[in-house]
Amino acid sequence: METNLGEYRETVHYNNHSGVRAICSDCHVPHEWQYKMKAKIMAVKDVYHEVLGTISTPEKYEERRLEMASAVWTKMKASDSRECRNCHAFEYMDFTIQETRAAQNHQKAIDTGMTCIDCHQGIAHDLAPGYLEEYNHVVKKLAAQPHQGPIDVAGIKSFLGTQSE
Amino acid sequence: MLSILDLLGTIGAAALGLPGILGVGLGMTSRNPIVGAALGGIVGVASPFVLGSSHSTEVPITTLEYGIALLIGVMAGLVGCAIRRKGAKV
Repeated sequence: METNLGEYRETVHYNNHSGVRAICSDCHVPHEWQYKMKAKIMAVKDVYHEVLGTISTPEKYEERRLEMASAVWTKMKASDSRECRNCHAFEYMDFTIQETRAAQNHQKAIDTGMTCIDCHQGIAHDLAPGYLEEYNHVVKKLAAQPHQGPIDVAGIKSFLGTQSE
Repeated sequence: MLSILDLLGTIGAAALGLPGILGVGLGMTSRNPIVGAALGGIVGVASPFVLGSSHSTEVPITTLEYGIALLIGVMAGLVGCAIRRKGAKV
């Protein structure tokens, strides 16, 4: 857990001009009781792998980085970036004081029904090589699930700069 | 399709949430297992509405989540009822 903690400490969520900090649980543990309990139970596997030393060295960590990131992206995409939205909401964004590129992209995200993690995959941790392909795979996998709402896979791929099918 | 870990998490969350805890409590209000199970079932169905929704997103609660909460609620209601029948002397 030291590697990802160190990466997080280099990001805006740890250190920023306003002094407001988002800690690990703000992004990885839901606020809603039912989902919070579910996350706690599922986190037992993290304890298990910590004891086993599955990611105890930088080399082992890098081997598993994409797999671990993919699992978190899947959760975030499926929940419409619920944990991000506990603090960030499109409704309260003032696009006039955002950078032009950010404002344009946020407006596009609203118009096309995208969610935070569609663009901000590396917001708190380093990205592994081939992350865009893996994220596309996550999006396609979720879009194929029957209970999911309509997802514009082609639009997201286009936005991410990869070829749409 | 949920992974095994996801499924275990959903079941555990239901057991540690309203369906499990309130289900046992309401089950203990009756010696009739049908009433106990029904009360637990009602809590199970209602709990995803109360605790499973999010104020900030529009993610629908899946049928599986409802199903698991209902099942855990019914079982908890029956356990509560059994406690009442075996344990209470009044």
